Amino acid sequence: MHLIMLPTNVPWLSLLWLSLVVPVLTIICIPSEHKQAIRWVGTIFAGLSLVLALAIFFGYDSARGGYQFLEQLDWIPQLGISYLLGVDGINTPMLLLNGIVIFAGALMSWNINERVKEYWVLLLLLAVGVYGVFVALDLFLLFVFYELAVLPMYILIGVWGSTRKEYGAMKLTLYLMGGSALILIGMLAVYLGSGLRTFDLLILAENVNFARQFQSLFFLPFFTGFAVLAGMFPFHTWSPTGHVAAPTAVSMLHAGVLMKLGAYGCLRVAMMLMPQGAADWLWAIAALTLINVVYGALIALTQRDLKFMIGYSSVSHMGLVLIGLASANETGLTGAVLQMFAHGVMTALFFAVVGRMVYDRTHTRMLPELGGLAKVMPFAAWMFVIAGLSSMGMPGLAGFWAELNIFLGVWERFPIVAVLAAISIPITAAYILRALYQVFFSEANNEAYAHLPKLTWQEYSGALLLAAVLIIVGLYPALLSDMIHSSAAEVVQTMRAATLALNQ
Amino acid sequence: MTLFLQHAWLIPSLPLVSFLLISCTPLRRKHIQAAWLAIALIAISALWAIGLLVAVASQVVQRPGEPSGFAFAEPALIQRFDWLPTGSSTMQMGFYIDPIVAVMLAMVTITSSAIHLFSLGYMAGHPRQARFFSFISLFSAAMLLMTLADNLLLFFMAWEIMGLCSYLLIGFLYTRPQAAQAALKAFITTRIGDVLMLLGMVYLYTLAGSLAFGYRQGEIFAPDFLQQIGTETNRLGLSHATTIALLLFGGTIGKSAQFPLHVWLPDAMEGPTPVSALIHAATMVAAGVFLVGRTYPIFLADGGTALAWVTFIGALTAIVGASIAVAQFDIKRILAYSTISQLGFMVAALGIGGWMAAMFHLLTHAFFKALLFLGSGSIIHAMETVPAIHRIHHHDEYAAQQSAQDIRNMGGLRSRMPWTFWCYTMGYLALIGIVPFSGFWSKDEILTDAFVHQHWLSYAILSAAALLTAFYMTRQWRATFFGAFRGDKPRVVTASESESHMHEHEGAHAESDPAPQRWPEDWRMIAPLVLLASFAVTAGAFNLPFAGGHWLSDLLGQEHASFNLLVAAIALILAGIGVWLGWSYATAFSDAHSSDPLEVRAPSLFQSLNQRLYVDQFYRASIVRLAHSLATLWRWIDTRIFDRTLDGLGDLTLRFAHVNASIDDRVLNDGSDALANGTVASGDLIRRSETGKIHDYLAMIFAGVVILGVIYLYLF
Repeated sequence: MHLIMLPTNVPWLSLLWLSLVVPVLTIICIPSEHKQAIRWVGTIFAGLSLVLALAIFFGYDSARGGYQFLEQLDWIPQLGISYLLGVDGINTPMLLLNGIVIFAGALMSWNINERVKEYWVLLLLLAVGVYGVFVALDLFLLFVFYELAVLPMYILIGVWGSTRKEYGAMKLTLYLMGGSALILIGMLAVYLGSGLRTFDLLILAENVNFARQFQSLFFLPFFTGFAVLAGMFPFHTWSPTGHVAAPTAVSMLHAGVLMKLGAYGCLRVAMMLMPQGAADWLWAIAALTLINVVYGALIALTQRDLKFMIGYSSVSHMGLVLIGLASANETGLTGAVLQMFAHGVMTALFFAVVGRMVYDRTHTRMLPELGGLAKVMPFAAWMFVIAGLSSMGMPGLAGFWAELNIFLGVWERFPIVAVLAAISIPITAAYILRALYQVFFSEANNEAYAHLPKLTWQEYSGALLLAAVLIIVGLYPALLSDMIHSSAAEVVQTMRAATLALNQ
Repeated sequence: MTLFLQHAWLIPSLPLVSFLLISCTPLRRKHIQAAWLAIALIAISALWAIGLLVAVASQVVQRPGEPSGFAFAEPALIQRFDWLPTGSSTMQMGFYIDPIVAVMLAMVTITSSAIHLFSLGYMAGHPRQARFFSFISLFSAAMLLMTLADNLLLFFMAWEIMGLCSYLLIGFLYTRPQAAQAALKAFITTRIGDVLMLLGMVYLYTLAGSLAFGYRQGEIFAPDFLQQIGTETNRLGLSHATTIALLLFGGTIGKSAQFPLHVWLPDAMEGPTPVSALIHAATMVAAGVFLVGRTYPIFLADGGTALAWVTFIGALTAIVGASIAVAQFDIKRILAYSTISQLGFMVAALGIGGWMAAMFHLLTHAFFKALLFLGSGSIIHAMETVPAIHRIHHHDEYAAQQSAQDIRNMGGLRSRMPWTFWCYTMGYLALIGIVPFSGFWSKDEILTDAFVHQHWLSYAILSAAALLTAFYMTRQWRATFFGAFRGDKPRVVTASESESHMHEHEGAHAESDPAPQRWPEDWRMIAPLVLLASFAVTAGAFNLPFAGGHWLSDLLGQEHASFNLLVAAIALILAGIGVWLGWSYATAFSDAHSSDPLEVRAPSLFQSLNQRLYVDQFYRASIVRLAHSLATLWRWIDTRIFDRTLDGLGDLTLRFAHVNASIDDRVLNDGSDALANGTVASGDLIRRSETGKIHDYLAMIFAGVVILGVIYLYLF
C-alpha cells in the first residue's frame, strides 16, 4: 500500500539529507545577532525535511517491498566505495521518526539564547548525520554519516548543557568513540574478508558467506560497537548521564533517534552480514538485554531526578528493542522496529515536557521539589500522561503494539526471557505514575510555581505533533507495521538462507 | 430486530462519544449539560442493549433436549474486519455476539445508566464534575467493548483501558494523598495480574496462531486444537492448556481481586462512591470472572488441573474476604470485602464446573452490590452534612470523610432516610441469600453445584462464607439503620487509623431528638436505587430451578439448574443463624465510642482481621522492600562500579597519556629538538662556508675535484 506516487527521476533520499545541509549553510551566512532569523530558518527547513520524510514514507510501496528510491554514484571506485542510497520498510519509518523529532526538537530550541548560530548549525548537522545513516546502503558512507551524527553531540552537550555537562559530554563521547573503533574493526574485517573489495551492503549481504569461525569472532565487535550506542548493558551508563546533561532538543534527538542508530546498525549491518555469528551469540544478547530491561526499570524507580528517571527508562526500553532483535524472527524484528519508532517519539515527548516545559521554568528536576504543576500547566500534564501511557504499553498508544510484538517474538525463541522481561511492565507503570503524581498532582510546595511563564506556541505545537503521532500509530498501527513486517520478513529470510547455505 | 444486532457497535460507541465530546469541547466546563449528555447517551445504549438481548433471545435455536457438558451457545452475529494486515497472517478485530454477551451488555448498560444518574446527584457542585462524567463514560465504553470483543487481544486492550479508568477514578480526589496512593496501588497490583494474562495470550497465540473466540478451525476453541494443547506438555511438565489457563487466570486474580492480589480493592474505596459501585462492584471486577467464563473451553481442555486451582483460589478468597469484613467499621470497606468474597464465590463456581451458576451470580451480584454501594453513597452524602461531622471538615477533610463512613457514627437512619433504608434492605436481603431475593437463587445454584458434584470442601467453605456474609451484613445493617443516631457525638477517624475522641460537644444528644427529622433525599439518587432494587428483588426469576423458570439457561444453552431442598434448607438456616448473631452483636454499638464485642473478647483475632490479616504489611515488608533494595543496590552498582570503572579507565588512560607525553616530551620531542638543533648547527656550519668570495669557492671546487679524483682512482 502506498498513498503517493512519487516521480522516480527525483533523488528523494539525497534531497532529504540535503534539506538540512541547506539551512546549515544559510545559517552560517546569517550574522549571529539575527537570532530570530536563524531560528526561523532552522525550524522551517526541519519542517521541510519532515515533509520530505512523510512523502518518502507514504511513497514507499510496501506491497512491492525491498529497497526502493535507490541512488548510486561512484565515489572512490578504487576502494569499492560508492554513494549508494536506498530504503526498505525498516529505514522508512526511521526517516519519518527523525523528521518528526528534529522538527519537534527545533521547536523546542527557541529558548536557546547563547551562541544561537553555532547551536543551530550543530543541531542540524546532527540530524543530517542521522538521515545519512538511515539512507546509506554503502558501509563506508554509513560510517561517515554515523561519525557526523555522533561528533556534534560533544560540543552540544559541553557548551549548552546543564548538570555536570563536561563530564557527561566526555563520557558519552568516549563510549561512542570506543563503539566506533569496534565498528571500524568489523568493517575492515568484512571488507578484507569478503574478497569482493566493496562496501556495498546489498552485495555483501547477498553474496558473501563468511566462514563460521570468522562470523563468530567478528560479529562480537561489530554488534557491540553499534550496541554501545543503543545503550546495551553494561555499556549503558553514558546514556542517562548524557541525557541529563544535554539541552532539551539534544536529549530529544539523542534518546529519540540517535540510540536507534545503534539498534539499526545492529540489525542492518552486524546481524545481516554475519547471520551465523548472530545465531551463535543471540543467547548472550538476550541475556544482556534482559538485564537492560529489568535493571533499567528498577533503577528508574529509585531516581529522584526526573531526567535521570527518563534516561534509565530509555535504557529499559532500548533493552526491549534489542531483545526483539535477539528473537531474530519476523514478529520480534517488527516489534523491535516499532519500538524504536514508538520509544523515539515517546521519549522525545518526555524530554520536551520535562526539559523544556518543566525544568526551564522551575529550574529543578528533583521530584521532591516539584509538585502541583497540573494546575499551572495542564497541557504539560496531559502530554506527560500520553507519553507515560505509551511507555507503560497502554492499548491505544504506539508503545502497546511494539511491546506486544516483541513479547510474541521473544516467546517463540526464548520463552523464559519473555517471562523475566515482563517483570519490567509493572515496574514501568510504578515509576511513571509515581513521577506523574509527584510532579503534576501532588500538593504544590513552591509558591513561585503559581506564576510560571506561559507555554509558548512552539512548545504547544511540538508536543502536540509528538502526542498525535503516538495516538495515530496506537489506533492504527498497520500504518507502520505493514511495511516493517514485510521488510522484516525479507531480512529474516535472507538470514535464514545464508545460515542454511553455510551449514550445508 | 436484526437492526439491533447489525448496529451493536453503537453500544460501546455512544459512551465513547460522550467521553470525546466532554473532554474535547467546551462542554468540559458546562457541568450540568455534560452530565446530562453522558446520561442520555448511556441510556440510549442501555435501550439498544435490551433490544439486542431481545433480538438474540428470539434467534436462539433451542437444541433438542438438555445439553450435557459445557458448550457456548451459537453466536448470533460475528463481525470482523482487518486491523493489522501483516504479511501472511491478518490480525482481525471485531464483535462476537452470543447470548452471554447480550446478557452482559444489558446488565452493564443498565447498572451504568443507574449509576450515571446517581452521580448527577452525588457529584452535584463538584468543581470537576464534567471530568468525572467523561471518565465514567470512557470506562463504560471500554467495559462494553471488552464484552463485545471477538478475540482475546481486543478483550485485553479494553481490559487495560478499564484499568486506566479505574486508576483515574480512584485517584479522582487526587489532592488527598490517600487517594493517590490507593490509585497507584490498584493500578500496579492489577498490572501484575495483567502481565501474567499477557504472557498467557502470547503463549496461546504462539500455539494457535490466532486469538479469535470460536469453535471453528483456526480459532482458539477449535476441538482438535484444544485436544492438542490438553495433551501435549511443556518443559514445566504441565500441559499447554493448564499453563495457558493459569496464566490467563492471573489476569482474573488481579482484576477480580482474588487472594493474594485482593489488597487493592478495599483501598480503591477512596474513589467517589458511584465509582465504587460501577467499577469496583458491578462491572470491572466482574470482568475477571467473565474472562474465565469467556475462555472456559481452555480451562476444560486439560481435564481439571487448572480448574482445581481456580476452585482453590476462589474458595479461599470467599472465606478470607468474608472474615475480614467482620472486623471493619467503614461502610464501604465492609462492602468491598463483601465484593471480594462474592467474586470468590463466582470463581469457585467456575472451578467446580458451574459456569452457568457463576454467570448467573455475576448478574445478580452486579445489581444488588451496585444497589448496596449506591445506598451507602446516599448515606455518606447525608452523613457529611451532619453538623458534628461537618465541623471536623474544617480542620481535617479526610478525617471528616472517614468519620462519615464509619458505621459506629450512624444508627437510626431508618426513619431519617426511609427510601434509602428500604432499597438498601432489598440489596441486603439479596446478598445474604434470603428467599426469594435474587442472591438466594444464584448462590443456591453455586452451592448446589458444589454439593451435587461432591466438592465437599468447597461446599463447606462456601457455606461458612455465606454464614459470615449474613453475619457481617446484619451487623452493618443494624448499626446503620436501627437504634439511636450516634453521629451527634461522632468518633473521629483520622488518616493514621488511630482514633481520637471529640470532646465536650455542645451539640444535642441523640436522646434529646425523640422525633427524628427526615433528611432530604435527592430524587436523582433515589430513582437509581429503586431501579436497582427492583432488579435485586426480581433478577432471580431469570433462572429459577423449576420447570418453566429456566429462561437464562435456555438462552445460554446450558443445563438447567437442579433444585436440592437440603441445600436450600441448609443455606437458609445458616443465613438465619448469621442474621440472628449479627443482630444481637450489633446491639453493642450503643454510642459512637463503644468497642466492638469481638474486640473485647478476642482482641488479637479482632486486630488481625481489622488489619486485614496483615497481608499489606507482609507485602510491604517482603516484595516492596525487596524490589526497593534491589533497585538501590543496582543503582549503587551503576554509579559506583560502572561509573567508577569508567572513571578508573579514564584515569588509567590519562596516566598512560602522561607517560606517553613524557616519552614524547623527553625522547621524541627533545630528540627531534636535538635533531633540529643539529640540523640548524650543521646548516650554520655550512652557512659559514658560504662566504661569497670567489677564491673560496674556487678553492672548494678544487678540493672537490681532488676528492672526487681520489675516490675515482681508489674505488674503481
